[in-house]
Amino acid sequence: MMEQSNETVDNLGSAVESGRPLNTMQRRRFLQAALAVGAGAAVGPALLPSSVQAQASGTNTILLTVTLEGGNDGLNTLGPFGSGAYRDLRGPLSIAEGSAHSGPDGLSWHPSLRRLATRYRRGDVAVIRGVGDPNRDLSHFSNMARWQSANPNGGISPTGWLGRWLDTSNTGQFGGVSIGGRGIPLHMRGNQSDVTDLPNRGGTALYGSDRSEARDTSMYRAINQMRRADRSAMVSAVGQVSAQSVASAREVAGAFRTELPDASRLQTDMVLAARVINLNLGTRIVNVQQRGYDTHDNQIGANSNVGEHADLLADLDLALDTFFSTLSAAMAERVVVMVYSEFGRRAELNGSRGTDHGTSNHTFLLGRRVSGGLYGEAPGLRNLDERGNFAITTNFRQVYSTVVQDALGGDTARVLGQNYGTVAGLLAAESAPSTVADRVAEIRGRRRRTAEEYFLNRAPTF
Amino acid sequence: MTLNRQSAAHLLRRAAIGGTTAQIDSFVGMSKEAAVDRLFNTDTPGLPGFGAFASGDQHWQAQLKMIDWWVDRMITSEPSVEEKLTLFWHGHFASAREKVGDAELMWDQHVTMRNVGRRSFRNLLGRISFGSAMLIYLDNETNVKGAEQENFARELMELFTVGNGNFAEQDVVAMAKAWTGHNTVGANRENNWVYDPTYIFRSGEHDNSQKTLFGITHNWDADDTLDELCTGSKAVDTSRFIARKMFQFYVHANPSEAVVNELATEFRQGGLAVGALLRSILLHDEFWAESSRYALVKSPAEFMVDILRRNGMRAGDDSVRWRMEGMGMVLFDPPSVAGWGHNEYWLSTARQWNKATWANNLKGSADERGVLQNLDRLSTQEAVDEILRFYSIFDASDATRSAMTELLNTTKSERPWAMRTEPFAVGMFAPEVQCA
Repeated sequence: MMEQSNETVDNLGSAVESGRPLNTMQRRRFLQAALAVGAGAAVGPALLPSSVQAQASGTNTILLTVTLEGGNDGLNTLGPFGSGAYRDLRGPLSIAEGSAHSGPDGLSWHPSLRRLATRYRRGDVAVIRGVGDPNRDLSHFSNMARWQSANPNGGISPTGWLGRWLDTSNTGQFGGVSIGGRGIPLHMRGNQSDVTDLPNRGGTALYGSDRSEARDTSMYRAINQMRRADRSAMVSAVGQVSAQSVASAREVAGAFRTELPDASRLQTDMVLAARVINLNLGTRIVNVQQRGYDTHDNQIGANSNVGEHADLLADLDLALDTFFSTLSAAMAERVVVMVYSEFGRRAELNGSRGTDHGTSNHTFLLGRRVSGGLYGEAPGLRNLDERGNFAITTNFRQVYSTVVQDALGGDTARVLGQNYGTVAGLLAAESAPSTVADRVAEIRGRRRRTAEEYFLNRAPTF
Repeated sequence: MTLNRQSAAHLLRRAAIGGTTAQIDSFVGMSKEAAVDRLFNTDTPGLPGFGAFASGDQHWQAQLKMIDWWVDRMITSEPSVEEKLTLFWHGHFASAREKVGDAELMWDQHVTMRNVGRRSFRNLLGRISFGSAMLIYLDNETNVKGAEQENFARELMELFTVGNGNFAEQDVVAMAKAWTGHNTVGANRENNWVYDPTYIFRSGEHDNSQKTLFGITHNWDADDTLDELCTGSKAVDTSRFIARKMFQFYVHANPSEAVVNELATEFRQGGLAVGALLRSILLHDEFWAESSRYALVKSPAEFMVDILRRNGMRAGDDSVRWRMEGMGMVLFDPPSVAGWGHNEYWLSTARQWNKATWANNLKGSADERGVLQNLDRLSTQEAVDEILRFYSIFDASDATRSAMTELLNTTKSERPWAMRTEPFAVGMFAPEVQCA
């Protein structure tokens, strides 16, 4: 069993108790220790095809996107709960400052976010304020599609920014993994890259993982042959994804070897996300979704500690902690988590104890490679647009640009169409993939295998 | 042109939820017009009252029974347009039991979709919009004057009628005001705080001011806005939006603007009669074009119904609801107000693993069902034809046939005992079987 980081906030050391962030030297020392522990653990490298081995080595950053669907209320997530302007806008929806967790710059964290607040104090959380799309509308679907496609012309494209990054990055079979069995989200869709969608229910004994019976392997072979079925484009697409599922089952089945926890859907998904990263299959991009943020009514209960939004954030808070504690110590050093939503909510509450669709929002980045703190200009509670929404002070594409350039590595202009500049200092310089192992990985990765080569090389018994 | 097996199978996959080979054969030799008319004119069984599913306050339990009922109805009823069209409307006017809570309200909405679904779109839109399930799902139950909320107002335009880009933010404001006071009775002290989901118009909570909607200043009320969307200044946008969406659901994903406009014009001229629009779509040249065959991916509901029917099985013979969830679809619980996606939306490793696991489970009892049990007596080519006939695929890709051929040859020579299971399973894996 792999060494786990066991890194819940409740287990944090004295640095956190005293509110002091770990300095860079402390972090680096921890990183080295962790790498030493992680080396040689987990999947035996000899079992894996060379393209997978190549990506698995090194210190490449792994990005976990946490997609909050429905439009999270950023103002009540991290806001100036003590200010009069805030209470004027939110009235009965206001968060009681006394039950919130103190944050930076006169802001406080929602009462449900105790662990996230602790992580922030430790220096592992960056908050970018006022993030949004200058070409916004107030539709869930078109905003989410614009955030996910990040098309430079402002419209919606059939590929997403991380799908295009995968297309240009030779990551191999398991470069992108979406968790939860809800299909491939748009931001991970590329032109060539296959993304693996991991189920969290409905039978997790992945078909294709059992190679012990000749009867089954004959069927796997037939499925692989039907990949060439060409009766229509859709027939061909079905054939290919069936073959992909069989070809990838054995490697990712490791994520299900231990029973999944009896926890919320999000927490289960986060455990799976951490486990698949721990498998060390060369995964670089992972996505998890949390639904339910469209809080038009009953956003808050009898007090600010309870209600729909409080429940969602409590689930998120625990799930983030569960994710980090499930990660191996080595992988915990490599992961950057990005928490985003299609928009924030209206500044003023509506008549149903809820909030309508808004514009700008906080985006959060978490992880040891993140330089914690506040970034971006605060939109200002009185600087509202004609619909009563907050100003957008940072184009979300600039955040993506920073993630591509300073965390994932790669050609920002090819991914985003143009360079939007970076948010200075957001990601620590030590994340730049510059080790010898990374360079070797990059060279080997260029020999990206076709699905067929991969499949036939994987399964000598066929 | 008269229908052959291939085109009759295509028609039933699209206009209905498929059919057995015997059912398909009963359409062979008919003209397109006669075949389509038959699908419109087939009598469908009556509907039970909600009492058939009621489970006290266990509304999720009632939902399970409703799903089983719906799946069985799709399996057993004679091919007709009603079943596929009901699936279409469920995805279009998406509401979820998870939020609505009361399964009876979802049942009422479902009955409306069946009873009104092929009549006037204006009528259907009104019945759905004022229905308790939608009032609760999109929160108009609490939309009141002076404290408007926009959830329903926005989706009414974006998803139900004109589509994004065909309304402005100012229209959302006006629309929300027009719908103030159209609430549910809700909970009150007199009724011991029991929640009453019945629609009520609270005139005191309705905004009677002049509002500017689509550039027209008027004291708009809810019903006027639906007229404006359907037959007033937004009629073209609405008719185009519905015609395009229905064409994409029934034919293929990329209709040209010319096709959309032609269908939309006819739709408007026909007083927004949905049945007439559907008939035009089913008789459209592009529907019958070779390139439209297998151009869509079956939704999990269509896939499961097709497989269960061929095996003489019913919803109760399998954990239909849980399997469908693994494949990404729970009836009466769409993932959002936008409903489910199409085609690529249904394709991912997770969904394929779940389909495959099901195939693997079902093959173990193929002999009990007497399905594809005598293939060892046939030549390999005859056996491949027999498998494809069982799944009503009469125009398979060469790759599908040759994969089956090799599997049968290997099985017959190396594992003859597996001839009772493997031919059945390889058919379920065939990409053609998973497409429509």
